[in-house]
Amino acid sequence: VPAQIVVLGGGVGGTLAANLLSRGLGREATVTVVDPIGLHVYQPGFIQVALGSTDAHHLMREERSLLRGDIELAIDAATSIDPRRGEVRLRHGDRLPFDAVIVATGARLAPELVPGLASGAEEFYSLEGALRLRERLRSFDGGRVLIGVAGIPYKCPPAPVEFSLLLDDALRHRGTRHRSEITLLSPIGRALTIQPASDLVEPILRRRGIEVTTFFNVVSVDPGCGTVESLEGERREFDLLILVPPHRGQDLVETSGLGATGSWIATDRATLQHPEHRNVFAIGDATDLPISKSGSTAHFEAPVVASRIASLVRGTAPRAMYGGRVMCFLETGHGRATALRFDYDHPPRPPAPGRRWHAAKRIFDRLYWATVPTGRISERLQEVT
Amino acid sequence: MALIGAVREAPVGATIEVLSSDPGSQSDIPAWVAKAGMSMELVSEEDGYRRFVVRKSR
Repeated sequence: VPAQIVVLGGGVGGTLAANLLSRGLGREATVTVVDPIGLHVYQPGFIQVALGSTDAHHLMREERSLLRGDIELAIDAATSIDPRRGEVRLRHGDRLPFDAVIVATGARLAPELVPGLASGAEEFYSLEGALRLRERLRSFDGGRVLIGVAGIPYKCPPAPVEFSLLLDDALRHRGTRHRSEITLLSPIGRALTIQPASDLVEPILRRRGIEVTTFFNVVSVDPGCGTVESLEGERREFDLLILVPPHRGQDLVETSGLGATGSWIATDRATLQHPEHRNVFAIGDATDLPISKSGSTAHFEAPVVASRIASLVRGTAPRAMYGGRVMCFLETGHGRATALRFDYDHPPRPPAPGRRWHAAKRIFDRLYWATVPTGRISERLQEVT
Repeated sequence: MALIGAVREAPVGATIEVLSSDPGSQSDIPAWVAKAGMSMELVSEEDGYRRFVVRKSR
């Protein structure tokens, strides 16, 4: 009897893990991917949509087209996981038995947690938010722009810095920069969490005339008065407010009793297994690990989970461990970028921003659809980086 | 900084314990606690990490 493996979520981690398991185990397992919309969305492109440098249709593919033919795809949402019975329940009534389940359900945006956020602030963390912001920016004729964060943790920690720098570029290009003030409201004591990365970007922000306000954690927005208030007790006025909405894990995690605070799934940092239920694995944004929530995290976690599940199926000792590897590009504007590569034990040493990294990011954007099903980074990209 | 997320969620009066081995966070935590008007109840040096206990005082 083939082992039954259920993968919840068709994002970066779920798609790659499912394909690796299907290829590696062949007839020894059946692999089923459950995804609520059946569309795979390249989220790093949202920022480019907001700034008008790419179109939304480039960011979507049908999940089916990214999965191996022998993988089952259920367009449905999981409503609960029962690790003891080895069963997932779906919204449309089906029950899927499993020997191992991978929770790769990502993060949910929770704007409702901050009063005034939904009506008073723009965001680029959803496709509709990015499209809305693009329209706002088309008619923006200068003013006070605040860019900040309304909850920790959030996906892609450098995104607010990156957005500030790219917005500076865009406003200069449109001739409205001299009528605008751009302020980055950082939730922590510097521009970025990781010190070497922060040391790199702070002088760039200064040179571009972007003010950095530290320790500003947004707690409420007053859309009528055009003000935003912080947990630290400060208030700022704005003409255009762009905030990263609060993030939460999926309710499924909470209702199944697998959660830590905020509905993030409790996850072992090395084995990526639930501490109590060894048949439950987690990948990507859904975990409670205190590391970057990013596509690359999921990309590097997926092979570890696939390898451990293959060992479970074959009754061999699992050896693969996740070492905390993350890689992200950081666009700094003017056609330049840098790259942050780090793991649990090695902080990043980002290179000076240059055109080469910007080119690498562009290539990665285009090759993403070939990378996500197989996990292989193309030779062309390896040459550049 | 996970502490900020935890303080956000907690009711006024709650205490939150943070264990940190990251040098950046070890300087950020006291700075944030002072800036946000919270109170630092305890700082202790442990084997390889530092323990902070913070009270959400407002």
